[in-house]
Amino acid sequence: MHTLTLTRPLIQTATPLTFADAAERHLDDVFGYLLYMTHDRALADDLSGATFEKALRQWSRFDPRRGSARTWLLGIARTTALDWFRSESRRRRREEAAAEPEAQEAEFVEGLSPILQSALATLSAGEREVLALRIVIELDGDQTARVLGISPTAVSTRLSRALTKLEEKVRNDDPR
Amino acid sequence: MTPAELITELQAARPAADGALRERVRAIAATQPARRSSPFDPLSRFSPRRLALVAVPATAVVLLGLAGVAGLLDSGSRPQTVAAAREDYRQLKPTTGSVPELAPQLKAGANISTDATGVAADAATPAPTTGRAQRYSAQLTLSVKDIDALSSATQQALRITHDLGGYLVTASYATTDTGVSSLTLKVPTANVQEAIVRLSGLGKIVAQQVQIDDLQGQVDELTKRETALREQIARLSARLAATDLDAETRATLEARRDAARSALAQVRVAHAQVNAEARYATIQLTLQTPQSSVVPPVPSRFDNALDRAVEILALEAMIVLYALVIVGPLALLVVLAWLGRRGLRRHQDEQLLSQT
Repeated sequence: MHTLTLTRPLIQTATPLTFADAAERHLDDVFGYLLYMTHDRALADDLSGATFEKALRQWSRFDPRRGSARTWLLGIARTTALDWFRSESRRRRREEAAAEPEAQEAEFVEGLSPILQSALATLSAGEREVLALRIVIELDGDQTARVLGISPTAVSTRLSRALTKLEEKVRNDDPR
Repeated sequence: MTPAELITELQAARPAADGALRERVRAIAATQPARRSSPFDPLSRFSPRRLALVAVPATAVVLLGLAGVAGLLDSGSRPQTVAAAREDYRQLKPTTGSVPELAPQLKAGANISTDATGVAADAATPAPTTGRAQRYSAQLTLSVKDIDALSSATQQALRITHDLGGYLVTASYATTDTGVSSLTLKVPTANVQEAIVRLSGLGKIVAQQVQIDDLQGQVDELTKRETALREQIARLSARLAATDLDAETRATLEARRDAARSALAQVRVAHAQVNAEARYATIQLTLQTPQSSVVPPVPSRFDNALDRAVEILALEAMIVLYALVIVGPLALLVVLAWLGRRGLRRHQDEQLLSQT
């Protein structure tokens, strides 16, 4: 006998989704995505808070007919992360001392093997974000394309490259 | 480690927000103000693109509606205009009326004209004075029913002229929506009254003008001069017939007689010209159809409304076109700049993410 467990309702109820519901339901997705992107737990924490603050201000503009709340929130998370990356890049350019990159967390995702952790650390933020969206958060190609603002084909290509690179790193680092 | 194992491990270690972050986000969500219904709420849900998608057809519908409503409202006032036009048209048509009595005897240079009489011209047309040389000019404007009648009347006018011993000098015949035939006729003065009477029977008289210039004074003068010259020539001839004239006197007399003969020849020519002018009268005959042979139909209220709506639509289209011509290039530049900026920003983002 098979048991089917639904993590999300198949049919949305007629009650309109509140911001609190959306935040509760998709907080882990937003945090996971930002964690993979930034490779920094504390930073992902801050950016998640900033994302939801921004989302609350824009909530009246959210239209469920144009896309899910999850995609919408991840889009805001991406904009927030990019803003941070831009400001960080400017800050680094201003401060020559920042030429030395900040130390990365050895274990930024709990539960991952150290080899995979270090392999992930060698990927760029762009590569990590596509892995996070397609594999960790399990968005489909179209949803990922919408969040990233690229075509689904470009998403597949980017994912394939990231996975290949990750696999190579893991294979090289694996002592077995 | 195979790709499948990689994926499995990544999915198994799905990150989760810690309790502190969750509480913080809950606190943020709790600050969500209760939604107050506003008439602009539906609008706030629309993105600019969707707003444009709705606004453009909606504006077109509103413009169409305005044109339609304005057309309907204005159509009521149109029948008056049409009635006025019909009245104008009716006034253009010749009408019957009284004819001023004309003195049968005209003094030299008399000018008599009648307009829009529409009655037979026999009573109105002055006759040339018998026994006096007169230059007789008549202008006659007649209205005929339609183009066919115009053609027929023109042919009849030529026939009448011929029958009365006259001839055609110039002719002009033109037809479009309306028709006009202009004939310049020469008719023996003795028959001019009959000619005018018969010609005026070809249509309704719209205008008539007769100009009579008395030439008898000129004729008398020329006759007197001719007689004097003849007598002078006779006297000179008689003197030249004498044999006792010296050569110088003879030459002088002969020169004077030659001059008199030359002057006589000129007087005779002038006399003949005046007689010819007096012998034939000039009739300027204009035959014309009314402004339009067909009474314009009264447009219905629907036609009026449609016409007015089309006028307003044309005006609206003109305004929109002007706006597009002025704003269009500017808007295009803005869109291009926006697209360029967005493309550049995406490129920069990609670079930033690939370097981080």
